[in-house]
Amino acid sequence: MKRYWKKTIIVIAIFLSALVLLQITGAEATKETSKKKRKRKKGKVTCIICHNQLGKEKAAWVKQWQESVHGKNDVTCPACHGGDPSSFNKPKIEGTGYIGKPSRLEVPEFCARCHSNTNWMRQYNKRTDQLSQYKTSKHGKGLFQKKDAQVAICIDCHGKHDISGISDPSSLAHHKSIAETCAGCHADEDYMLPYGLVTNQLAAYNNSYHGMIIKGKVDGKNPSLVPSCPDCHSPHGAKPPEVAEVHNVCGNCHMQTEKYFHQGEHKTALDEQNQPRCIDCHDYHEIRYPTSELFVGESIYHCGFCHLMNSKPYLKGIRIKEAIENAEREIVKVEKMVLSLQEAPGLDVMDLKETIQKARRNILEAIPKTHSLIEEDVTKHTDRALVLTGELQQKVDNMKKEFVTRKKGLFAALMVIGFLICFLLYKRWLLELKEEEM
Amino acid sequence: MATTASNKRKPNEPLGLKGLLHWFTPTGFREDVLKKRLNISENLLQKFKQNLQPKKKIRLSAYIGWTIVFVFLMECFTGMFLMMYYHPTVAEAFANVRYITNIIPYGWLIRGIHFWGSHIMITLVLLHLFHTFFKGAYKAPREMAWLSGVILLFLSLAFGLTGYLLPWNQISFWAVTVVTEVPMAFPYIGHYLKLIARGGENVSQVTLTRFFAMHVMALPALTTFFLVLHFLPIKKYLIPKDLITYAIAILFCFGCLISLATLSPAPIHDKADPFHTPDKVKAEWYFLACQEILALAEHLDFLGSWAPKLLGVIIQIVIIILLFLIPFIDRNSARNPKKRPIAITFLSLSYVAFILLTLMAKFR
Repeated sequence: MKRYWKKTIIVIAIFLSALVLLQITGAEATKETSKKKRKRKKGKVTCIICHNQLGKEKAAWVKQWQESVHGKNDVTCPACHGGDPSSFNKPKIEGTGYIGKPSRLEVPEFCARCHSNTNWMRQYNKRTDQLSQYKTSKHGKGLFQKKDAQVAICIDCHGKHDISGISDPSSLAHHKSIAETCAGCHADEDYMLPYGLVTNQLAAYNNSYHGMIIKGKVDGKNPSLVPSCPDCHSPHGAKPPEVAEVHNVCGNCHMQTEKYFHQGEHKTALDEQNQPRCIDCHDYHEIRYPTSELFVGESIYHCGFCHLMNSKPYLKGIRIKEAIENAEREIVKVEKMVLSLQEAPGLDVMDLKETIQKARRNILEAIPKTHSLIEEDVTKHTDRALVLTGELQQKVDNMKKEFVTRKKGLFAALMVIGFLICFLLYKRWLLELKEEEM
Repeated sequence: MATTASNKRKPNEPLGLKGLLHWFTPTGFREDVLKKRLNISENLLQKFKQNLQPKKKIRLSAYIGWTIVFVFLMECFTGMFLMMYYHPTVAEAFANVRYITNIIPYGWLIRGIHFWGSHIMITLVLLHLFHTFFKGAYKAPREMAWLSGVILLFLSLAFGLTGYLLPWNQISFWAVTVVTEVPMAFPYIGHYLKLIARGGENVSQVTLTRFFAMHVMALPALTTFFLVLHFLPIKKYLIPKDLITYAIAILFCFGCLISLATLSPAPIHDKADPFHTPDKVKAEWYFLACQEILALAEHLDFLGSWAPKLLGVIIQIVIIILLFLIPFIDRNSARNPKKRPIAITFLSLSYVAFILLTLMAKFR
C-alpha cells in the first residue's frame, strides 16, 4: 500500500514539474523569437556606425532617431541632412547635397521639403499646408519678415531627432501635452518681455473647465474632445482670434450654442458694437463651467455687468435662470427617490432612469437656447422636463405602494408558515408523549 | 373482505370504478397496486418496514441534507417557470429577465426564490460538508457518500456559475469572462480549455447557449444521479416524528426564501457590454476565495511570468484533490471529534482560511 502511495506522489510530482517546465520553455521561446525579429529589422547605415562611435550627444541622436516616427518609417539621415551614407569615405563631400545642421531661420522650409510635398506625403495621408499656415501665423511672420530666430519653429513643438506623431502620448505636440509645450515659451516672462505678451495663459487654462477635463479631473468627460491651445489658435497658423471670429472659434465645438447665439439680440449687438463676444461672458483662457448664476449679479462676466439690475433684459435673464433651476431641482429630487428605490429594496428602475435622462436632455437642450435669449424657447424645454418629473414621481409612488403590498403579502405568508410550524411542533410533541407512554 | 373480493377476481377482469376506489384503501394499495401491478414483493416491503423503525437518533446533518434536496427541488420548480419566458440569446436574455421581473405576475417572486435558492443551496452544502467532516461521517463504510457529496458540492458551484451568466448583465458577463480565462494558466492545453468553456475566443452567444444547456439539462441530470448515489448508502429512513421535524425545517427554509426574495429582490444590473469593462470584476461570494488565491499567487511573479497564474490554479487543484481523498487519507477510525484533534484542527483552519480569503477578496 505504501509503495502505491509513493508511486502516485511521484507521478503527480512529475506531472506538475512537466507543466512548470513547459511553461518556462514556452516563455523563453517567445523571448528568443522577438529578439530575432528585432535583429532582422536593423539595417546597416554608415551614419549610425560613426555617430555611435562618437558617443554622448551624437550617439544619442541616433537612438532618438531610431525611436522617432522618422526612424520607424525608414526616413533615414540623408532624407533631411543630405550627403551620401553608402560609403564611409564620402558622406559629406561636395555634390552629395550634404546640409548638416540647418539654422533656426531655415528649419521651417527644411522640414517643408517633405511635409509640403503632396506627392510624398500622400502615402502617409498627412496634411501638407503646415508651411503656408505657418507663414500666416505670428510666429511665421516674426521669422520670415522680421528674421526673429526666437519665435517658435517646427522643432520647438515637435522635437528634433526624437520627433513623434502627434497621436503619440510622448510627443510634445500631443493633445494633452501641447499646452505645456506652448507654455515653455509663453509662460516664460523674460522670453515674452520683448513681445509684450502676458504669461498667465497656462495657469488660467489649467483652472478652466477645459483644462480640468484634459487633466482627467472631470468624470464622464473625454479629455481628447476638449480644446487645447491649437484648437482655438490654429496649430501652425497660430494667432489670437479677431473680435468677429471668436464666436466662430467657440462654435467649432459648441455648434448648438453658436446657432442660437446667431438668432438672439446679442449677435445684433456684436455686429453693431463689437460686443458681447463669447469671452465677455465666459472669459477666454480661464473658461469656468457656466452655471445659471451668470444671470445674476453685477460682477464681471455676469449679466448685471452690462445690463441695469431692473432692466427688461436683466429680468428676462432671471426668469430664464429660475425656469432652468426649478426643472433641475425637480430632476435631482426625483433622481434621489429613484436611487433610493434601487439601493434599498433593489428594484428595477432602469425605465425610470431613462425618463430622468430624457428630462436631463431637455435641460441640455434648454441651456444652449439661453444664448438666443428667447424665453419661450427655453421654457418649452424646462416645462417638458417638469412634465416628465411629474410622471416619474407618479411611477415612484406606484412602485413604493407595490413594494408595501409585497411586504404585506410576505407578512401574511409568514403568518401561515408560522402557524403551520406551531401546528407541526404540537404534533411532534404529541408523538413524543405517545412514545414516552409506550 | 375487500382482499377476498380482489383475490376472487380473474387477473384480466376489468376493475370498474369500485375497484379503483379500492386502490385508495391501505390494503387495496398494498395488495392491488404494490404487489400485483408494481410487482413489489412482500419481502421488500417487510425490509422497508424494518428500516422505518428508529435505530438511532437522526443527525442534524441529515436534516441539512434533506433541506438541500428541498431547495434543489425548489430550484427545479422555479427554474421551470423561468424557462417559460427566457430565451438564451444575447439579444433577448436581458430583456426576458426584466420582463419576468417586472411584467409577469409574481415573476419577481419566482426569480427571487430561484436567485436566493442558489445562494442558500451552496451555503447549506458547505454547512453539510462541515458537519459531516466534524462528525466523521465520511469514514468507512460511507466513503461513497463523501465522494458523491463532494461531487454534488462542485455541481452546485457549477449551477451557480452557469446560472450566473444567464441574465446577461454586466456583472455576470465580466465575472464569467474572468473565470473562463483561468484555464489559460495551463501551458498548451489552456487555450483549448478556454475554447471549450466559451465556445470561442470571447464570451458570446455560443457561451450563453452552452451555459444554458449545462444549467437546465446536464447539471440537473448529474445532480439527480449523484443525489441518488449519495442517499443509497444511508440506510436510515425518516420516521413520522423525523418527518415532522423535516417539514418544519422545509417550512423555515421556504419562509427564509420568500422573505429574501421579497425584501431583497434579485438584482437586474446593467445589460452586458463587451466594450465596457467595469472597474472591479468580482465573482459570486462562493468563488471569491478562489479569486483571492489567484490574486495572492500574483506575488509569486519572482519565479517567472508563468508562475502566478499556473501556481494559483495548481494550488486550487491540489485542494480539490485533497477534498476528494479525505476518507482515504484519514485512517483514524474514531468518529468522536475529541479523539480526532488533527482532523478537527485541519477542518477549522480550512474554514477560517475560506472565510478570510472570501473577506479579503470582498474588500479588495
